Formats: sequence, structure tokens, C-alpha cells
Amino acid sequence: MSERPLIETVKLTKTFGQGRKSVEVLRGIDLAIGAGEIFGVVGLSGVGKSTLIRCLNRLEAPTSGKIVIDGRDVTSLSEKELRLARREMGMIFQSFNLLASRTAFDNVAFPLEVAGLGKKEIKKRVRELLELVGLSDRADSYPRELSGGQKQRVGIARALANKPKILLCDEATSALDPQTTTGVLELIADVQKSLGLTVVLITHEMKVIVEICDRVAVMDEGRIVEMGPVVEVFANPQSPVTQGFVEAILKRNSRFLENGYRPKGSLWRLAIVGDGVTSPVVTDLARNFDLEAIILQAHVDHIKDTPFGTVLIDLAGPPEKRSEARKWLLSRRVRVEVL
Amino acid sequence: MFFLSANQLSMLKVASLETLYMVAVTTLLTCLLGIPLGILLVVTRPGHILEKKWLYRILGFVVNATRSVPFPIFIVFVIPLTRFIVGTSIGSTAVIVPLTLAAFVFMARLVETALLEVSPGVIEAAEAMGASAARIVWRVLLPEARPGLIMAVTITIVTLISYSAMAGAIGGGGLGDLAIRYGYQRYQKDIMWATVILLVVTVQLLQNIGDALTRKYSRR
Repeated sequence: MSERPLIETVKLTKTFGQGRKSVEVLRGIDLAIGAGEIFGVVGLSGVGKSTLIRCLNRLEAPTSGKIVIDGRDVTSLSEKELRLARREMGMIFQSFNLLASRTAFDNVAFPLEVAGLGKKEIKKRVRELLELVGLSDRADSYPRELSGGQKQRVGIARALANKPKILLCDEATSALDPQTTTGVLELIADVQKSLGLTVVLITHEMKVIVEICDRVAVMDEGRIVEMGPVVEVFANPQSPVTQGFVEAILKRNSRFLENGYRPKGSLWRLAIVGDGVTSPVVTDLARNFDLEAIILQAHVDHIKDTPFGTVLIDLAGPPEKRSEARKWLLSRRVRVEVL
Repeated sequence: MFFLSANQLSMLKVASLETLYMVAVTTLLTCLLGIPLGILLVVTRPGHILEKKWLYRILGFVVNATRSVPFPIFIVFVIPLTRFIVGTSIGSTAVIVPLTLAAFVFMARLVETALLEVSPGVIEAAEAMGASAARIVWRVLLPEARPGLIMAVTITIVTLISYSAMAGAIGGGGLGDLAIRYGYQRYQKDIMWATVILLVVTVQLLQNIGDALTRKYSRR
């Protein structure tokens, strides 16, 4: 992260409606997103994350607070300045929002027409963009002839048309099946890298965060309850909401226990981040402390590029040995959860 | 037609041309006024791209008020205006004034319905790209709603043909007038039949053309 954040919100609030019927959707959001990050906001539906991302390009006008993008306060822009500022931010949507009456080519051309480019330039740029998202052969197809994943690729090409610095993704993969989601996320990560974009994405799926985000903010009831590098938040979730999201990904472990397994000792769930994944943690544990460790389940995954392992063990032995073992694990930066 | 005398045929021809004249001119004027009004009814509504609550309410009231007056009464009601514009309140040209006034508010509602079918998400995407309100109307709303708009024009023309039958009341002539004066008042059933057949065929033809165009432009 560079010294000055590219996107900053200060005490951002948004209230819908007035008087008794009013709903406070954002209750003071402070965010600082650095240039070149993929920043994720995760939360259940209705916690205000969609309103938050829509405030960034002022599709929604904030009630109070400040939004500074690239050193400019977007809350004080005039209509015309806002239109120009919006051209520097691309946005993709859950329902793609392509123009049904235009082909893929003409959809991507639309923002270029808005920016006032000539026909020749538009043609050249659209070709490049369709190439970038791998849809050169579908240039003449209408949206209804494209699959969900292809539509979102057109959406991405369209969002990138005017070479924005920022890409806003509003639940961009929520309408897609898991396989297609992975493909679209890979594309976002690729263009982020090759174009040096800053990506802000909101989602209700922790899986999306884990796959491509650098940092994450967890939202609940209009507030950010937890924020940090994804690896840290994932390995050591503090708030109940975050724990819920992490749990959802590690669910396979819980299912195992529901099937009536009777533990010999106590059940521990270990979370190992980074290179520790390849060290013999469980073997050392059993050997050094003279404990019996049964591995019930083990799983190695990646959080973006960092390996992340979870191991469920049934640990039998004297309690004092176990508490010593726990301290040792913590000293090795292994997170322990006693079930 | 085969069962008519030469004299009846020529009457039918004159009446057809009168109807054609009234409907064609009125359709043109109705589209020129009705489409913009329909656009205004959409873009000024709360939450839309040019939200203006007071304007939206006034327009809505005027449209509803105009549409509540039965057409024969409406023709009489606007006679002073017709005289002012056309110079007379009698004849085919004079009919165009009340016909246009009644039809364009009707059409505005049809256009409104068609434009509201355009997904709000698509409009929002255009806003997010920095498109101006005028561009959104011209390049997003109208093209996206094209099938619905073609349907609106078709319905308007068909309605105009039927409304123009009442033009006889102020000497406007046309097929409807012919059917009433000769077919009903003078018991010439063959004239009645001929006009009805002619009208049915014309309406069917128009509707088919409208449907075909709608299908051609439908991309959903």
C-alpha cells in the first residue's frame, strides 16, 4: 500500500427515507484502500455493502461523511464533474446490466461513445478489450445469446474500456455457478495485475474474498466490524460474523462431527498459515508432548497466494500436557480452536 | 368490392382516402407529441434520471384528466381551439385537432409503459459510465424499449382508425362516417359490410406489420 490511499471514506453514513420510517444503512464507514490492491467487502445481505460500493461512484449520494478518490472529494463534485470522474471508475454488476439491444461489440463501445472517441478508435479499442477478456469470437452476439460467464466478461471489457484506475465489482459473481465464478475471478485478478488496477469488490461469499482479495473488511449492520489482510482475518477471526464466514468455508469439518464421532480426548482445530503448512506440526505435537493425536481431517488451501491449512485432530493425553502443547502451538503461530 | 355499384365504390374510395388522411396526419402529430411526453413521464418520476416530482405530478394529472373525457364530448369541448388552429371546426382537417389531443396523451401512457420495461440496472450502468441524461434517453431507453415502442405506435394507429369513425359528427367524413350515414341511416347494408370488411382487413394488416417489426427488434 502506498502512503496515500487511492480511495478513502471518512465517517460515511447513508440513511434512506425520512423520519420514523428512515433506515440507517451505513453508520460511519472509515476505509482506506491503497492503489493496486484488491479490496474485498464481505457481509450478509442487507448489511449495506452494496450501498457502500454505490456511494464510491455516487450512484448513491451519501448522507454525511467524505469520500476522497485520488485526492479528490467526490461528494462535492458537480453533475458534470461527477460524469467525468465516473469515467475513471469501471463498474460491473451482479446482473451484468448489458444493453439487450446491442451486440457484445456495441456494448463495449458504449462507454467509448460516451467519452467521445471517434469510430476508428472505438473499433480498435473494442477489439483489444474483447481479446483481453477472451471473447473476440463473440463480438456480434447479443447478450441473450451469451452465457452468464460470457456476459460478465463483456461487462468487464466494458468497465475497462476507458482505462479506469478503479474497478468496482458489485456482487459480480453472485449470479454465476462456482466454476464460472472461478474463471471470472481469475480474469479480474489477471487484469488487475496487468493493468495495475485497484479493485473494490463486495460479496456475500467468503470464497470470493479468499480467492483473490489482498485485504478484507467484514460488514455488519452498517459498520465495519473487522478489517485486515485476508490471511490474518481468516486465520484469526474476531467477530461472530467473521467466524461465521470462516466456518462456512470450513464446514466440512463440522459435518464430520455431526455424524456421531466419539472423541477419545479433546477436539482441536488447528489453523496453519504460510510455510508452516509444510512443517510436521502434528507429528511434533504428538512426539514432544507424548500425546496421542488422531487426524480426523486435514485440508490445505490457498488464500490468494498464501498456503493455508486446517487440521482437525482428536488429542488424547493428560490435561497439563495438552495445555503445554497449546502454548507451543501458539508460539509457532498455529491458531488453536478447542471444539 | 364485387357487390357494390360504381357510385358506391367511388364513395368508398373517397371515404377511405379521408380516413387515410386523418389517420396518417394524426399519427405523425401524435408520435411527435406523445413520445416526448411519454419520456417525460418516465424520467421525471421519483428515483429516475431527471427526477422532478412536481412536473411528474402535473403531467400525470393532465394526462388522466384528458383521458377521462369521452371522445365525442372531447371533440365538442375543444372546438374553440380547433377553430383557432385550423380556422374552422368542420371537416377532415378540423378533426385532426381533437384526434391528436386525445391520442397523444393515450400514446404517452403506452410509451411510458414501454420505457418502464427497461431494466433499471441497465440505466444505472450507463450512469456509472458517466453518460448524460440525454444520452441515456437516446442511446439506452429508446433503443432498449424499441419493441415496446413499435407496439405502442401500432396500438395508437389502430385506436385512431376507430376514433376517426366519430369524426362524422363534425363533418370529417371517412369510412366510419360512411358506414353510419349510408349503412345505418339509409339501410344500405352492403355499404356497411364493405366498410367493416375494409376496416377489419386494414387493422389486421397493421397489427401484423407491427407484430413482425416487434419480433424483429426483440433481443431479450
